[in-house]
Amino acid sequence: MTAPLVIPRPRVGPVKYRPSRGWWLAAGIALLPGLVPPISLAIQVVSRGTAIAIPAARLLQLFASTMLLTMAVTVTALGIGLATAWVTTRADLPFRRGWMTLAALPLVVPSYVAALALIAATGSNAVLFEIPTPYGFVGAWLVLSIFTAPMVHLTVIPGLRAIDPATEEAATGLGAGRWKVFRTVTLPQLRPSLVSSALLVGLYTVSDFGAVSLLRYDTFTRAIYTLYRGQIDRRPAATLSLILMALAVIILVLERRTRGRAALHSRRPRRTRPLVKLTGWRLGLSLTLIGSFALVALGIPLLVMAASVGRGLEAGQPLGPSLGAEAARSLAVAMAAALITALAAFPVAMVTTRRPGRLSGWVESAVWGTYALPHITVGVAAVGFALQWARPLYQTLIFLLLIYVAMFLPQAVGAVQDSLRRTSPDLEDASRGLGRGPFSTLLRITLPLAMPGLIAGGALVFLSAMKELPATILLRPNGFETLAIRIWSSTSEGFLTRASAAGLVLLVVSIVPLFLVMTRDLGD
Amino acid sequence: MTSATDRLAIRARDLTKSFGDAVALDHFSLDVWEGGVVTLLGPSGCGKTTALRVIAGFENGGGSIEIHGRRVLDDHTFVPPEKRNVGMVFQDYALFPHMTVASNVSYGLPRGDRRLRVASVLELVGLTGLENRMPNELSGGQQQRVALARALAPEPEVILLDEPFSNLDASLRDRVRRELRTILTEARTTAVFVTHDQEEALATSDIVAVMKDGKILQADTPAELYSNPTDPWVAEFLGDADVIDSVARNGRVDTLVGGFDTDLNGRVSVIIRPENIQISLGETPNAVVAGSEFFGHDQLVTLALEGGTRVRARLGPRPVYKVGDSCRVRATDARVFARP
Repeated sequence: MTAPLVIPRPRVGPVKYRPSRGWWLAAGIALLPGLVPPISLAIQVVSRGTAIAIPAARLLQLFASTMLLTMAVTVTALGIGLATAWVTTRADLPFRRGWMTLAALPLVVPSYVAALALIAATGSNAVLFEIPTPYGFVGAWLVLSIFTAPMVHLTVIPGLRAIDPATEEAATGLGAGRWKVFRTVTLPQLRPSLVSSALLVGLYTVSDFGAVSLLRYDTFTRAIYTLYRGQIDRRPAATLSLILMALAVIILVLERRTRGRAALHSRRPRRTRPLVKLTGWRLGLSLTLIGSFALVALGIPLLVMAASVGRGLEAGQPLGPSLGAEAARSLAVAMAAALITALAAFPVAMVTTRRPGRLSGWVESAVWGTYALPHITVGVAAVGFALQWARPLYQTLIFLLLIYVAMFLPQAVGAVQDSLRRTSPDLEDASRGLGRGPFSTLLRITLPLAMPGLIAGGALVFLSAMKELPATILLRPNGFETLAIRIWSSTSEGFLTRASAAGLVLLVVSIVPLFLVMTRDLGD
Repeated sequence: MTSATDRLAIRARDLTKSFGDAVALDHFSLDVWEGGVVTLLGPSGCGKTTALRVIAGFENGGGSIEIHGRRVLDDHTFVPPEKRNVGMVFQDYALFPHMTVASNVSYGLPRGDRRLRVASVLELVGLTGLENRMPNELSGGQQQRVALARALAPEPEVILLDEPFSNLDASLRDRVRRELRTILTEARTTAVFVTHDQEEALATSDIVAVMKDGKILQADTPAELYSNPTDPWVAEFLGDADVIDSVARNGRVDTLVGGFDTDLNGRVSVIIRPENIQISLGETPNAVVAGSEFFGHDQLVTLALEGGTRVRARLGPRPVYKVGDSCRVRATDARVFARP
């Protein structure tokens, strides 16, 4: 067998297999939009004098009210989420898998839609309860607790699955009762996922704008928006934003740390465990618990919005002539954001999974740092950036999309990394060894295998972009009304029928991408 | 051996490679004759897989490599893996999970009618009829053979196999090993195996190269390597061996189990294999039976010599020795190495 002689091309200096400069460059470009907001915000605040234009007492008060809400929501969501996760993974519940998915679904309900449901359900013109609308702390606490519980649910389920049944059986063999086993063996092993989900809920609550603004509870985000709208001087809003960003980044750093330790646990036990048989009052209690959660978190909002729409139609109120146009805008922007972000996520995921090292560690940190940034602060920062350095971008669709990429890149990167980690780099080596060049290998091996991650990542971004409110309010082109904006502004102006109609459309449109995400997250 | 053996298939010189502070290859040199089957044998972390990956071009490194006389690596040259014409079988097989068996096997073939070649390679590895299966629908042994077929299909000049049997059940391993050897002989391909399993290395290869700390300590035929190790570490690593420390004087070293000729003088280690130990019960005893493991076809008897030194003896199934029996122990053969 005589092979054609290939004359090697002489090279100077050290040569390297996997010419990776292109990947690094692409990853750098993808990261750029995410780095702009925090950096430009810091420059804006510092360059105009560090004197904080907000009284210390006000700052303290905001900090206290934000932390109070965060603590209360975190504790409540942990309780609900742990209960729904345990009942749907460990107990012999009828339609167990169905309940498991159902308990995760409220995640798709944006906080401002939940607030709208609460406002429409109560008050003087109530569709459901003739009680005063619980504005302030109680309302915000209720809404955020119920709608962040699915985060705990989704984080704790893999944690529960990862526990080796043998550890619990060993405890039982040593004479521990069921409750004692749960307390002394199960719960301690769940701690990493519990801490991680608590911090995720905390991060969400600190960053939430929709619920607190509609329910009129004073936190950092609401104060930032009020300052931004009410004053010509943008300095106070920028200062508050910088403080909130720092707070969020601290929470995220804590979360990453617990997750790092959680990864040490074995991911998949060798045996499956028998489900706990539920009988009598235990079965009744479990069904009541999961059923009432589904009712409160999904049934009531849908019912209330439908009733509100029905009542408006009876009274001859218009649903909003522009509803179709708003839905089309939301869809188009979310799809564009999903596509661009998934594309941008690919090189970032490639360098972080395939070329580990110090540089890719920094890339990873930068990505996760942008995940922490509350959207209202990103909005304030981006407006400041555009007004000061990039005037032509201000209030353009392209700029809005760029900021979407900045905010949602981490979600897409996470999904793509997931599918790349599942495929061994040996596959790419095997392809090279069989005579295919780097580009052919990318097209035929890497991309097809990363496709599930790209689709899931795109679906996640689509969902988030559809729901996004605070940054969209600040950055949208004039007159660019989306479903999210319509729901929020109509609710705050008291047009509950128009808001409910838009809310229903938003939820319906979210179903398909939600299904794509759910099958990935809840699969065994 | 045929006339083909006068050409070198692989000529690797002074390969060096480190990952951070860890040295994986330390002036590694290896010659493989065309058509030969060579095994790199060593404990995990000795650099054997790295050597394979550098030869294949998956890692860069210092030193030089020629494959069939063509320079693929030196200070100014790096031929990428896709242009080296080297086949690789990975430890976890690395079958493309999104492609059928036929697509996997034809992946490395040039455009045009690949069906004929795919069919003949699949026949060679005994997988005819499984063309349209997906990799996850195959057993471990079948996956291994698809990986081999895929590597053989483009008719590489050299095929590299990284622990190809480690993911197979013990019962399957021996059979697949024999089949693989037959297939390689039929395909007349030069092969380099990597393994940490000495039995596998001795049974499969023309030449075994024992590696430690990124270097080859000794490369020889299995029989020569086993009976004439040139390095005490190799002697102890391959098969069972016991060490008795002693001092050599005037071309002779005396131990409790007998004296041996040697060119060395001073402190030495005498290395004795269990099958070279004989026991007799009638004579003046110099040892006590300290333990015994019975394997059916033979038994391994541990003997405590005067002063506490222990040696093992591999003996036939009869007579059965009991712990506490006194006996006379004599070594019929031993290797003597200088002791630092």
